[in-house]
Amino acid sequence: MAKISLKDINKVYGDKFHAIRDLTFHIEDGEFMVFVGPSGCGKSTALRMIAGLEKITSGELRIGDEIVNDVDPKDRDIAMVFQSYALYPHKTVRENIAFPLQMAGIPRDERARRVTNAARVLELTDHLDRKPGQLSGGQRQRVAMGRAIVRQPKAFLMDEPLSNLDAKLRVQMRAEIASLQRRLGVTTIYVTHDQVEAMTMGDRVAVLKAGVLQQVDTPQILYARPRNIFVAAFIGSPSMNLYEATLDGELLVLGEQTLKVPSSVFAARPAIRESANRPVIVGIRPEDIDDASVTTKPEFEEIDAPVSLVEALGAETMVHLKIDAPWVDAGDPDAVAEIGDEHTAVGRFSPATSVRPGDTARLAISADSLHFFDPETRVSLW
Amino acid sequence: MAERSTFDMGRTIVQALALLLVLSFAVPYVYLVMTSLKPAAHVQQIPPSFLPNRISVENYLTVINTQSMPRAFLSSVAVAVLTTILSLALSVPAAYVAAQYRRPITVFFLLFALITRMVPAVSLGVPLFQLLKSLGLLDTTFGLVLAHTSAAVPLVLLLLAAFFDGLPKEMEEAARMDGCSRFQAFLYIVVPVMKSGIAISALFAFITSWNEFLYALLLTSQNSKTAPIVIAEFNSVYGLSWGPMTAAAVLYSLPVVLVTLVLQKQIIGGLTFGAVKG
Amino acid sequence: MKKLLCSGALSLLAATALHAESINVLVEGGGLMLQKAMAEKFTEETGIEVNFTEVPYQGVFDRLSAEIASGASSFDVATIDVVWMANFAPHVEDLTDLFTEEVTADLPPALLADARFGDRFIGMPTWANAEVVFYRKDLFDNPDEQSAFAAEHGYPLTPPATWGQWRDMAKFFTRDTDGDGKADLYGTATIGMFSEEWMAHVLQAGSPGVILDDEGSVILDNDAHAAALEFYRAPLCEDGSVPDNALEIGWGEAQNLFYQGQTAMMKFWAHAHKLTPEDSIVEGKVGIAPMLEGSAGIAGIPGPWYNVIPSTAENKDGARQFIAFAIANNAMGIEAPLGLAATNSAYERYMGQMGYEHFGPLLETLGGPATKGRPLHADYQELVDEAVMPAFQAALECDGDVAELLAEAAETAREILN
Repeated sequence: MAKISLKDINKVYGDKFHAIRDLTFHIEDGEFMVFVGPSGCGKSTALRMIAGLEKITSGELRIGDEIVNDVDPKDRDIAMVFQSYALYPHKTVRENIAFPLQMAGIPRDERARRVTNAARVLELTDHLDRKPGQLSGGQRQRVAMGRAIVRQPKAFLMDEPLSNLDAKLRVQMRAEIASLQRRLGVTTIYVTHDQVEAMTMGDRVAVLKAGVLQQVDTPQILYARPRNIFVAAFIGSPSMNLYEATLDGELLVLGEQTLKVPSSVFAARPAIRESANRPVIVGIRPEDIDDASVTTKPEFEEIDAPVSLVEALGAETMVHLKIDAPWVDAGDPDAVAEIGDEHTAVGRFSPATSVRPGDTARLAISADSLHFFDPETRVSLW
Repeated sequence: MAERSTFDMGRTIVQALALLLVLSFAVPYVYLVMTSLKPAAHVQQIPPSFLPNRISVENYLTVINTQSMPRAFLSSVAVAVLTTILSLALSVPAAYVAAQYRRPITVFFLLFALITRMVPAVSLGVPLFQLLKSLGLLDTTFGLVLAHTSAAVPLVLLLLAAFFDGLPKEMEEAARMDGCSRFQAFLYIVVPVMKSGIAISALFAFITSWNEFLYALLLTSQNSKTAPIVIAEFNSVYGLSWGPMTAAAVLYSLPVVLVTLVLQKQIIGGLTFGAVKG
Repeated sequence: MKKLLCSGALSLLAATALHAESINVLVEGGGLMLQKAMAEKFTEETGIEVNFTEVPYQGVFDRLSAEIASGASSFDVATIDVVWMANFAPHVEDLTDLFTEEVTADLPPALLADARFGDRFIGMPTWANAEVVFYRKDLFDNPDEQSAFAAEHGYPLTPPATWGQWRDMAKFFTRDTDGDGKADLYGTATIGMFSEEWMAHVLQAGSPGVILDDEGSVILDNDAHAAALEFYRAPLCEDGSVPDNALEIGWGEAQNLFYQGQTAMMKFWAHAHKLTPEDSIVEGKVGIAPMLEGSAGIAGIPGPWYNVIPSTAENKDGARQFIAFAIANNAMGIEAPLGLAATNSAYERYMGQMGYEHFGPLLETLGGPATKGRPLHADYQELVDEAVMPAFQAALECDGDVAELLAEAAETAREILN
């Protein structure tokens, strides 16, 4: 087990495509680190460079204390789980799991003992003599895990290992992998495009966009203090609602309407204190918008907005709202297409709400949870 | 119930058509076998007869008792086996790299291999003759193996490249993460995974050499003459050896039939490759 | 021990000395059979080893062409079919000095003519063959058949010599012997896959040559070509005295039909007389007569093979010795299964002996007044394939005017030559 650190890592394909730009961060020994970002953000490339499957164009990669830029994958002592699992179709489950041990020259008895152990942990004991072709998707995924854990490597690298499973199995495996990792205590880097996986599994999450690291932090901090509007919109589901607005003293002017910003916000964000007619991007998470007539929020500001769509989910009701202010694109290429030409805001209403499409709802906004970003730099204003 | 019986009807028709198709391929061969079993004087008749009116192995005895045929047969085996081994040794790694590490140069490489198949073999015969003559390899097994390999490699290369194209690149990467060098990954994982494709390619290489006529004619004299030449010699201008010729052809086809049967599982696996990916 | 070593070294030396001189000879199956005994004697007398490389018929042409093209032949001698002489003429040695008076006097003029290209002799005849008439003696000698034939046609049943006799006898013997309403004995068979037999008739009809005259002009459309083609297709198209699948019949098929007792007569290459299979119902009952005669007398198409020395040969001196020895010992080929030779003296030596009844008719045909080789022209094969065969085979479809077909063929031939 080991810590992993990246310093100014760059990856350039040919002379043209800059896939990773100046990537620098440090992963602690035993830490579960998640790389998350939209497709093409470079998260898999970063992982593959750590694996040794991609050459590092420039920068310094250390596993433990050793610089491993030019070390062959087989000598890095790390295990990897692939999105496709990459099981060896001609080998049985037993042989698949034993293969890394065999290559490492572990004696036969020891090999058998460790394969049995891994199989027990992953509940594969009954399937050891089958070929991968005879297994279900979930079982194949476990075999891929087995091949990684059987070796007790310095680190696990996992490249979207759950993306080929159905939603239900994905949730179950998510928990199993997380708990397995905590039990084994092996440094793990886990790549996903699914921010829910990222938030639920990672000790820390690194958000990447277009080859540039946006923010590395614990899930809580990423959620509470996103560094810029990309992270703000990417983390959390549904996404944070982002609008252009003006801040004038303690009044936030959002289109035709105004909200009073509580002093606690200015205390936390001195950068926006006492501003006059300052253009900002305001971010409101869906969970900070409720139906004013039924809300249980202790304190809130009220504005009006027409309702375009209501999705009752039982425990909550998602309400799509037309906010009369310029909408802001956070730059997530994977963001779900909007309904028609309209960019709507989403509010996570209490199920007691009775709003219907076409109504104008009275909204309760938790103004103390508003996020503010600079319209030029798109960075959070603190 | 009614639905079940229409289903069976459709199935029967399909099977009957399949049988018909198989028969249309098999008839010439069966006719060859029948002819080889006819007594020499009855080989050609008006009207032609399909079944021998008397089964006779005299044609087979004639063939086996010639001096040239058993020798040429052994020569053919040696040349075809060595050609297969050499072609695979050259093509399997080359096709793997060309398919898995696709670059403009590898695409060019594969296309170039194709071009060599577009030139009539005859036009390569004379240069090959000169080349082997200058190397002192005329009329040697090895010389003919080189010539046949030059014919088999482009074919095998393209075939294998198509198979390797269907192989996920992660297979090698997983092996490398599991502690293999690139070559070990190729040897322990890629090659066994691709064994169906390799088996089919091996069969093609084998048949390419086994049935090759022109190079064998031009590049051998006495020592390493192969069976296709000797079989053709039965059809001499003055000869009347239709019977022995068909007997020789039947005998000569047996190893290919045998190899195909032995590799049957791999071949069918290879033909359905892609359907079983995962 | 030392002595042993010494003798070993000596025998090694002797072996090298023996192997020091050898010649490589390219042959087709027939060439090997006919020259093997002679070559053994040659080695015995001269110490020059003879290595035969046997290839299939077409292989002789392909292999020799490739070797000459490469400029480095492995062969010192090649035994080639007369039809390739024109193609190889620029690439073979002049053998004129081997054609002594003694040699030329002993060869039929047609063979000599084909050995010459321009003003030099380039190939030495090894053996010659020609189509002669084969007939079933058991039928022709049967008194019942004889009287029936005489009654029907007003002249006696003898081996056919003229076109008219050939047609009469073919019709006469075509019959249904088992009463199933279909003929099972035919007078003869018409070969549709090759045109050489028709070419012999062309010469019999008085044409100055086949396809081309001596000046190289196309004469495919002269009267003799047309008359011969009318005669050639008459048994098929008018008389019904042959199996009707003529286009599927080649040499082998015609030969088999005869051996299986399904035809009473055939025109076939003379060597076949020695090759009648033991289990054939006609074994011992085969009679041979010279090729038919027409207005120009007897004529056949010679099928001679020649020994040539490729210009790329390495041991030309050995090759010359071999060729000189071969013609001097030409008779040795007659003992081989094919039983053929080239010189008059060789044939005469065996004439009248048991099993060599075909030599008389063969010599008479080769020496026939109108016998002449096929044109020695590099485009000969193309002329046959592109001009002659389409017309020839169309004529055997039995509709179509022979003169028109040949006129078209002549047109094509002229285009090829220009």
